[in-house]
Amino acid sequence: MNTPLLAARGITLALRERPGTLILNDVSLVVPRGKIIGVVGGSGSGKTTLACMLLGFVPEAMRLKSGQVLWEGKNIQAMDAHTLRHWRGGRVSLSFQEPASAFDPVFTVGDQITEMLMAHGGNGRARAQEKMLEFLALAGVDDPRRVAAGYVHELSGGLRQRAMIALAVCTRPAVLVADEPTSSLDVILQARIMALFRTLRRELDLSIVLITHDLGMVQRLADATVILVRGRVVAGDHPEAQALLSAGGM
Amino acid sequence: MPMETPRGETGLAWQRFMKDRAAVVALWILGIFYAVAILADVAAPYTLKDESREHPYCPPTAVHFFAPDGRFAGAHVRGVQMTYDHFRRRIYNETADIYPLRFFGRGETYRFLGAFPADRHIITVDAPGRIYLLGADSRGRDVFSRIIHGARVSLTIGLFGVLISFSIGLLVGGIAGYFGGRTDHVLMRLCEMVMMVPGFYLLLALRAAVPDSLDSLQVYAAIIIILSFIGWAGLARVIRGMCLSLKERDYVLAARTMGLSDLQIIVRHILPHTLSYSLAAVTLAVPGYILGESALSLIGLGIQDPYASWGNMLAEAMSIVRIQFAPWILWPAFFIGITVLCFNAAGDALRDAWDPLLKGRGEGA
Ligand SMILES: Nc1ncnc2c1ncn2[C@@H]1O[C@H](COP(=O)(O)OP(=O)(O)OP(=O)(O)O)[C@@H](O)[C@H]1O
Ligand SMILES: [Mg+2]
Repeated sequence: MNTPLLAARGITLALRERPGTLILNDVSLVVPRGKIIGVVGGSGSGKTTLACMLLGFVPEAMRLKSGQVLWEGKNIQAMDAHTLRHWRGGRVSLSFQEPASAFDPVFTVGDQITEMLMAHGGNGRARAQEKMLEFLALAGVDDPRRVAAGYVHELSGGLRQRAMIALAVCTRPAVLVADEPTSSLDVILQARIMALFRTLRRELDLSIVLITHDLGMVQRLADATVILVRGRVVAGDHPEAQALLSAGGM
Repeated sequence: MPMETPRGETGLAWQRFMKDRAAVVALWILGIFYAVAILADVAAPYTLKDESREHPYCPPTAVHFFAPDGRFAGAHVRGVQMTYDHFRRRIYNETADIYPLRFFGRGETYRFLGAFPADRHIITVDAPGRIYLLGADSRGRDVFSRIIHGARVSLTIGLFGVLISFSIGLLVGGIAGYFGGRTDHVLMRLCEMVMMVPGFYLLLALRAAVPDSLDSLQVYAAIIIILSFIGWAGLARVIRGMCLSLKERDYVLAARTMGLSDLQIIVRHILPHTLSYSLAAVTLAVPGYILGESALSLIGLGIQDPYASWGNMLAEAMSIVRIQFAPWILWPAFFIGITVLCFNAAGDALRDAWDPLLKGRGEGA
């Protein structure tokens, strides 16, 4: 059996203040090459926390009690700072649940994508700016120049989300962790983002961890699904999973 | 998208700043001061080397339009004749000699902006006439000219000093706040050590550590460095506090997940957000440097004759008797005061202009 690209093993996170409260409880997850893995769960079930963990970030308020994140079978904690820095963003990237706060308000969206392109892969500024526009177009932005010149508060929710995805995939990572990429969008935009993910998987050979509370969407798109209930992975016949499914399926 | 409204927070803050009358006036005054300082050679009737031993403490020269016989003679000044009264006080009486004011006339030669030779002055009179718009000092030097030349020193020391100390303060504060832990602890104790020593003693101690045999440019640089050394710690502490909260922002986490380096994150995604505060703080700090230079020069440890600074000009005004007979030697104090007031007004307005935005942003994040 070949080793998966990215895997989380038995992640258990507790609040620093109240070590008895587990935010994630023995969560494991495997991301094989080129697959879409769905992570579903209700609000507060620990999805965003898991997303951060997959990139090796323990939230400030929490403490890792046990578990590890493996990249190609190797513990990422064993990576030195330099490798880790290039791994983040270069090999695995995270698209944030709320692009409005994930973009720095004092720089244009284009600037930030360009910055990312320059930090990884040694692009010159001119080349990075070209690529930035290409990736905005690839992410389904119709007018990349205008969007690139805008500040995040000037863009609509749908454009922000697509710019966020462009930012996350512009370095051609192997894994994209997408935290609720569609939850703030209408159905038409949702369908476009879904189509975008299929395209990205095909064109960039990308594995995607698709985090959402919409079980229906995950079922249409994902190769495998993990259901989170209050920080725990549960089976599909768990009553709360059924509740999610029936709500999402309507 | 309508483009006539200024974009972003900077635009809005600037709009609010411009609504503050006092601040706008202050900005204009400072603008004029700095422009005059840059063009000091042209703006001043006399150069720094100029002196006239026959005119010690000559009072401000009156500008006349009519000759003594009543005929119109254009703007001119008269010659003066010094005598002593029976208390042996100097008395200046105007003579009938007429010296027309020349605008952009030829006077002493100088190097314009330090480069090409020139001899034009905005206002001048032909020798042997003298024009003392704000009176003369003990060696018959024009106070007005020396204030203009001194502005170069006094006004720029504040800017350069602030530039240096704030670069240090921003970087130290940014690093301490961002990394936290032991780094933070060590850097903050260092700041406290600097802040613990009363400023003026530190100033004197540091000045004592610098050799006396420096030329004026070296003294100028030494003063800037000494003042910056005192100034950075306070800012570093505040910036550190801001960074502690700024580093929790999503876009900082985002920058970290993107694999940007720590220094890149501090410089690009944390410090710019402290800019509104720092800008106001910088403006409010400039007066401290101007006063610091004045204090050093006043006690003879700063800029030395023949070079002028507002501080060393005031050294002459340390005797109450001289002030009584020649109150105009206090003019530099007036300009120090105006400058300090203007910087304070502008700094306050800057802070107020940004404040509502800071609050709004805190809730939004
Ligand atoms: N800084 C924090 N301090 C205390 N508790 C926290 C903190 N951050 C998250 N939590 C708790 O951890 C749990 C998981 O939060 P998380 O953000 O991962 O949920 P989520 O599944 O992403 O929810 P949503 O669908 O609303 O985005 C929640 O119960 C939340 O209250
Ligand atoms: Mg979430």
